[in-house]
Amino acid sequence: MKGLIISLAALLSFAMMSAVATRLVRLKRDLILLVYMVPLGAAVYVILFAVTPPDLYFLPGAWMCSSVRLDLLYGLVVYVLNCHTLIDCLSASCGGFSASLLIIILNHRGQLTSTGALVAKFTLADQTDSIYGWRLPHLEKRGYIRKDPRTGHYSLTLKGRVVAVVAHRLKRLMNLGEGG
Amino acid sequence: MMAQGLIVAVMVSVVWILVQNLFMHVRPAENRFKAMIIGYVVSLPFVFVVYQWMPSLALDSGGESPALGLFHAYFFHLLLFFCYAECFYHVERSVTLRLLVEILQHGDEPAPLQAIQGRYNVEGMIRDRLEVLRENGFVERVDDSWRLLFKGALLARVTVAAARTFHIKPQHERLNTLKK
Repeated sequence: MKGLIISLAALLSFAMMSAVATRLVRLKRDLILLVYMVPLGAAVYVILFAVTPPDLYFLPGAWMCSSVRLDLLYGLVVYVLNCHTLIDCLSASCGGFSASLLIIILNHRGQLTSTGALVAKFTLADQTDSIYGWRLPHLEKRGYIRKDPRTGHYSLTLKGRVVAVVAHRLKRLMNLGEGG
Repeated sequence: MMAQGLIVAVMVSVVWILVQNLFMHVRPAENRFKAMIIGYVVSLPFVFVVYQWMPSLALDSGGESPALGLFHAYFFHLLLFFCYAECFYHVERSVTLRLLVEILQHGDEPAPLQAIQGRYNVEGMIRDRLEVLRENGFVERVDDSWRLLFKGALLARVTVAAARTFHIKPQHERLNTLKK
């Protein structure tokens, strides 16, 4: 139980440290900083676990785990899972297209927003759009795809092929459509 | 008792996730999130049943309360549900994965950008997402325009607050920055 309680405290410290860090450091990709902050929160967890008594000053004996190592490991796993949930929620809400659509409509303050106006928010004047505009160069830079310099056509690298095959098989396993 | 609870949580989670995905091949659900919630709720009594059955494995309890094990079983079961739901949406909604799968499906020949865009473009993606938001009660459609419903306005406001706290740009504001 000690591990679980301390992991929740570490999660809170992770969220607060991340909120401060995002104001001090600006990276090109917003959420990557939060990923970097996860080990820092884990260090806070381990330190708190080491310096506090087994009963945390209030836990009854029956609610204390008999194996300290298991308690420590369990708390760490819970911390990582909770960080994953927090980062994922932020990624899906702040970084997602659906939530972005809701924000655009909200900013129109009660007025109706046409589909064309919404699409235009994700497209630049030179026809660059939010799907391909930065994503293709980014995937190429990270080694998932390669662009033929002669034809300009795209193909998958081995790394990209592995990710694409796994994603495709998972979609089939879950009986999903094309998605995206 | 704690170790026993964690083992029960993993066992029940793996079984219900497998059963649900098999069931989706027999009878696909319109609303997958609702189906996931139902699957999770149906699995809850099994956590208790399996936990009661587990003492036959004779794990060392070390004086821990049986309620502690059951508490951890349910808590970890909930965390695994969150993790599954997050992974599900990564596979289902990820624009990057869809893009890689599109290139994969083009076969051995490198894919021209126009061919990929022909199958997956920003307008189609936005229209699909608006339709999903409408089906889930976040927005309503008036002719070819959109208005937020209470749920949509609430989510948009929470997202704006989260984006401010963690200094994250919404998707529609990222295009100019990330292209640089």
